Amino acid sequence: MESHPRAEEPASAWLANPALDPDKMLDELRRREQASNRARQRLTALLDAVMAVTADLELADVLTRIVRSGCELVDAKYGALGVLGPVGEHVVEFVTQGLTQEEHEAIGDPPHGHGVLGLLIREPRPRRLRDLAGHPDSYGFPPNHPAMHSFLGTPIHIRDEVFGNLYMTEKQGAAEFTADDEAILVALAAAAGIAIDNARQYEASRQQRRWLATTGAVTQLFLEGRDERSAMHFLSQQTWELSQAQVVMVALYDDDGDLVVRAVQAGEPQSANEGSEAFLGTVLHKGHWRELVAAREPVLLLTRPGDPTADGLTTDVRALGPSDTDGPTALMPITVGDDEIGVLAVAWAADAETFVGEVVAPLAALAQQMGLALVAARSQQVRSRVAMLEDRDRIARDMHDHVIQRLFATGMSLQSASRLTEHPTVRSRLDEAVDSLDAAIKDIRKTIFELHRARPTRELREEIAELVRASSQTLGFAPDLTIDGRLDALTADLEADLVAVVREGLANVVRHAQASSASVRVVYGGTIQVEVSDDGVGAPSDAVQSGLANLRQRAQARGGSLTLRARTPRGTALVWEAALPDHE
Amino acid sequence: MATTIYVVQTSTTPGPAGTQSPHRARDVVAGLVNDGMATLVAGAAVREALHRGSRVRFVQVLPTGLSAGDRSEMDVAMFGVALRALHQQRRVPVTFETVEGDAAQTLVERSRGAAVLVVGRDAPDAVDQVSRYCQEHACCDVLTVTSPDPTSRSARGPDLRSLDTA
Repeated sequence: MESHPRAEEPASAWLANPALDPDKMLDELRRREQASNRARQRLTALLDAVMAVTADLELADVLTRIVRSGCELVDAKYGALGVLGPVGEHVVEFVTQGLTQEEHEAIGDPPHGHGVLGLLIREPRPRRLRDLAGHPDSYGFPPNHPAMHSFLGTPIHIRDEVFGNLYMTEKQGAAEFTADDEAILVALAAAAGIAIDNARQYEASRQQRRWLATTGAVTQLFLEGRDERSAMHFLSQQTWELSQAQVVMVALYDDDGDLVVRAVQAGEPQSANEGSEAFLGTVLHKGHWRELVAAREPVLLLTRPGDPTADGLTTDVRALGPSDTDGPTALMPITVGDDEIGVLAVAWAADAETFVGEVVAPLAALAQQMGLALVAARSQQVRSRVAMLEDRDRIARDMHDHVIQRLFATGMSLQSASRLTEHPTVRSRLDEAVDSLDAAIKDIRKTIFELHRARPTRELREEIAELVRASSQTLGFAPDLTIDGRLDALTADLEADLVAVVREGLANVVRHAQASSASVRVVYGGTIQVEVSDDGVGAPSDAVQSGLANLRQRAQARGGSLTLRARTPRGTALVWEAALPDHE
Repeated sequence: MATTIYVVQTSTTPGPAGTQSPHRARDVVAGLVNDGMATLVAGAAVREALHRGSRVRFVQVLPTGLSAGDRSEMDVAMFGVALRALHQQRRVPVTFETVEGDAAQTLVERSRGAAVLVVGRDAPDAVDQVSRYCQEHACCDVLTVTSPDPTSRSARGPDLRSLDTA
């Protein structure tokens, strides 16, 4: 039966009674003073509780404090806070106070919002009951549930939304909760609503900051010349961590129009990602991948155990690494304007349904930003290559139109002078000079020809990237590759040296390092520098050093050096440096 | 612009108990059949799911005996319809299922345990009375979608009935 506040006794009723004797008046005064003191103490306790619940910004801690404070304020043996799901129909989280771990385990699944708990959900207003079991809505208790009789519950509002309900049971020292208890709990619930709102907003802004930071970092990687594959690898790692996913996949269209898997993350970044590496290069030709990208609409797929069929998109993503068969899978097309770039896919565990909705918006923003950065980086590379080729054309034209013509004219002039002179020594010298000029003209023509047929820088980049890619099969993970600066000033033999350094450096990591990560960095500045580093155990002292000696010779021949140093806390870095042809 | 009218046939028989987790909103099933109403059905299903906080299961039922090419073409067209319905509704979780068979029976079967089945209203001259069959036999509520302007193809979505079903 539901309790109602008793009608208040008029405050001055006893004063108006002339028959009241002085002793009774004094007793009454004492009683009133005690009540006033108790009210003041409870008000102080309420203020303390409000301070306590608003002092923390971690939502889980805030919820626990609210329940604990509620129990203390109204002298309840047990307390609970039921958080409602997005639709507000069911309890999706249940925070309790007063139950031991053993009691929790004995009860089993938390309630979902039936019975009297459901009454508060359907009609969100405070309820006070003398005996739970006596209420018509009572659903009974599950086996092993402790006995509970008196009940006090109130909804927690956040603005117009009901966040959840605060439940108190088993009033200590009395058969039921009082109207004062109800007023105190309602006040606590009001403060709790504000505290929860603050905590949720804080968490949302913190998540937003992390997503923005990741988006910024990925953009920067692309624009500073990081190899596209390394940038994709970084992106998938960061997305995996931030979204708490099981599998993250990035697939991009290649030059042939195939949608190809370029990065997969399916486990801790520090751990070997061997199984997933095998899927790199897989062409996604089944299902609706093309239509999905063309439609430019992010999609949140959700399969559950018992569903009649799973679509091909879900199974394609979940096959890339260890993951639950069912669960949410977000597919984010990567497009810029009319360009269809690829897709970012994220698959979560089956029990992740409750939070993925919050992640979809930042994921979509990340995919969009990534598309822009990718297009910008590719445009930058194309511009750089066009500028280089135009430069070469100009130089070749100038040499042909001006330098060769002048040399040719000078040669003709000398030949004429040679015919005019009688002195044999002078004639011989002039003929030698003409021959030298002829040789110089031939050399210049050869250089012009080389300028036009010279291998573009992109091929060197691709050759290095291919070396790195090939090493991932033996290493069991994908080394990180960064190429910083234009490589168009390198001569063919310096390019060959560079490739040799990268190859030998990676071979050493494969043979000796037992590493879980490695990186290759090529930096073009005042010099050309190659650094191959790992986090392994380093080469044994008796290892054959002929490869390194060879690299050292190559460096020294170019006025450079080779350094092998230990990294902190573990690992080795091989640094090869050479002067550029202009600086020799 | 034509206004869509929704008619709810509240056959209030609940789905079989225990088929859904008690704390999870039950599905909205969008019945996409080859009747030219797919766009309206998909849009209504997404709005209904948004309101209920539930998942949309796009169930496309194709007639049996289609050639591989026709099947693929219809499949792609229906997938596009579903994606367009999801425009700006990124948080609505969905599944896509394609089944061959009798549309009415398949939808009744696939909507077991769902909260609501959304189908297009039967054309007066239609041989297959899909929505009527669903209203009579489905275990869940049936939302029948129609348009006041039945000649408006843009509002009704792609009509693939001209495909050769031989």
